[in-house]
Amino acid sequence: MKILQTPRAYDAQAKLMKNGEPEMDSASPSPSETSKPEILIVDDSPVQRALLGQLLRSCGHAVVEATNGVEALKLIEERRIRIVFTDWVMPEMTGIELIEKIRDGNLGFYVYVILCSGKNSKTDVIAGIRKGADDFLTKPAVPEELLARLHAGERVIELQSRIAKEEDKVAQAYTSLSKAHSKLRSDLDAAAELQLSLLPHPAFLDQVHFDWVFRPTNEVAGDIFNVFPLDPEHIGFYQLDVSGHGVPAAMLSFYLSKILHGAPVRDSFLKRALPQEPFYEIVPPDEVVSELNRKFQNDGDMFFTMIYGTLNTKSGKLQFTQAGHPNPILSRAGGSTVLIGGTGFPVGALPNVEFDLVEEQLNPGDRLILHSDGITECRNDRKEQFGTDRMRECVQDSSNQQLEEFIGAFVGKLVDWRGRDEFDDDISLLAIEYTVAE
Amino acid sequence: MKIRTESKGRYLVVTVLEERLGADRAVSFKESLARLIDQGHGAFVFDLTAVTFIDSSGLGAILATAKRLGRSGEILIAGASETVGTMFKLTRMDRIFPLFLTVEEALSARV
Repeated sequence: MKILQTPRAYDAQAKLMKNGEPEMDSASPSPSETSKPEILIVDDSPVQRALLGQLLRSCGHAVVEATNGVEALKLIEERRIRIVFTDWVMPEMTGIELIEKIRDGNLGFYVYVILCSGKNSKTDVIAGIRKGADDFLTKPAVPEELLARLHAGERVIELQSRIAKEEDKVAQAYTSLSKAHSKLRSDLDAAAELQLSLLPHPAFLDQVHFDWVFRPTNEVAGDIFNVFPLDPEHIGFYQLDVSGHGVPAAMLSFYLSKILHGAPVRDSFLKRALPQEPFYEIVPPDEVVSELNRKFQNDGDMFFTMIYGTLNTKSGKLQFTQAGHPNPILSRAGGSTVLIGGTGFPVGALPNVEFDLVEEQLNPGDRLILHSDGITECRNDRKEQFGTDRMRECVQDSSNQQLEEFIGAFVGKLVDWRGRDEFDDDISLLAIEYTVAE
Repeated sequence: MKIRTESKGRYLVVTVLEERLGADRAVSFKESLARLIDQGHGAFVFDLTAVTFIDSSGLGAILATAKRLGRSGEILIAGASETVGTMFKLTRMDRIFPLFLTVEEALSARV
């Protein structure tokens, strides 16, 4: 083993070995090398303390002394001493008891303990190690061996300090991550609240009554919908589902909800100006969706599926365009249900594609059910999909209920079938009823 | 994202070994395909036999791949189940990516 020693250490050893007797002079060279750890010597024998102390001081260590374990513990705690040489047999508290106290205590730092004793049987060594001693020194100590063991201890303490510093860094990083996380969480909660505020209150609009279910998977969803008056004779409605989940999808859905509204003509691309009375016309759904498709072309894979439609509340004439969105269900007042619409490209997926306009005649009491694929693709524990057929059956079963009851009953059936009240995908359903004219 | 690739003539057959091609897998699927394009592959058959579910994110990954390939690229779909095929049809993606029952059928249709 290579032992690194300072010239001064060699001098001290030489001196000790030459004299055979230790000098009792404790005024050894002052430890100018402050980087060296302070060392505690615990021994009830003043001679032993002096012998060891002088050697350590001569190597540049600051040394403190204790005559028993009780004193030692106090010093370790007060001075945060990291290296301890302790005698085995002492009054009041033995070296072994001292080690046990050090190991049990919550000092918050590691103490390297070298047990010094006349005992040197193998069983004693094993017992000492079991109790937590780091190393052994048989008295009387040979200076070279003592310093070698001290160096080993210094290396351990140095490593341990480095680990503690790294742990501090990890703890700091954890704290700042926790802060960032709770900030994100509160931002998301605020965004979720905002998203809910964008949804319409279930209401009667003219001849139309509507209600809905909205269950985002994350705080915020890519699903959004609305029903609004376009003019005294028409309502507009849409439901859309931005691909993906979470914040990016939600941001696009927020934006879309802001541009799809029935506000006055100059602010809306759902209506366009005419030079003569009534100075506007409602843009047909297929043209609206084509315009959105032009507007939202992108190089990536961000797109959305949607249904946008208008309903003439006087005549019951329904017009809509379906863009990659699940087929709406038309629930007739008589109790029959039918899937309407067809197929269509999603919006923003491909440039220059055509969108179809679908027309249906609604009669008083008929309901139009729009839903996102989160419902039909919802799976139960047997990995079966809820599916369009089951969806239609559920709608049919509840068709004679009031709209609010119908919505509640539908959610109940979906949760029962799923087996639990949580979902993998955003769930949204919008039911629009064309009511009997007053 | 688990896939297996095999060259068949001028096509690279990409067999998707995942059951679900949804939002959680879409990004890594897209990245795997982007690497294959960067390696010089320009014509693909995606074997979706193992896939039981695809959503708009999964379709988005295929669409993004098509956009990366550009006009000269080609993507054929093989082995789509009824559920997966329905999704392609609902979104008219079957008009962009022709559907075939099997990989062999896709390859022989294009020889």
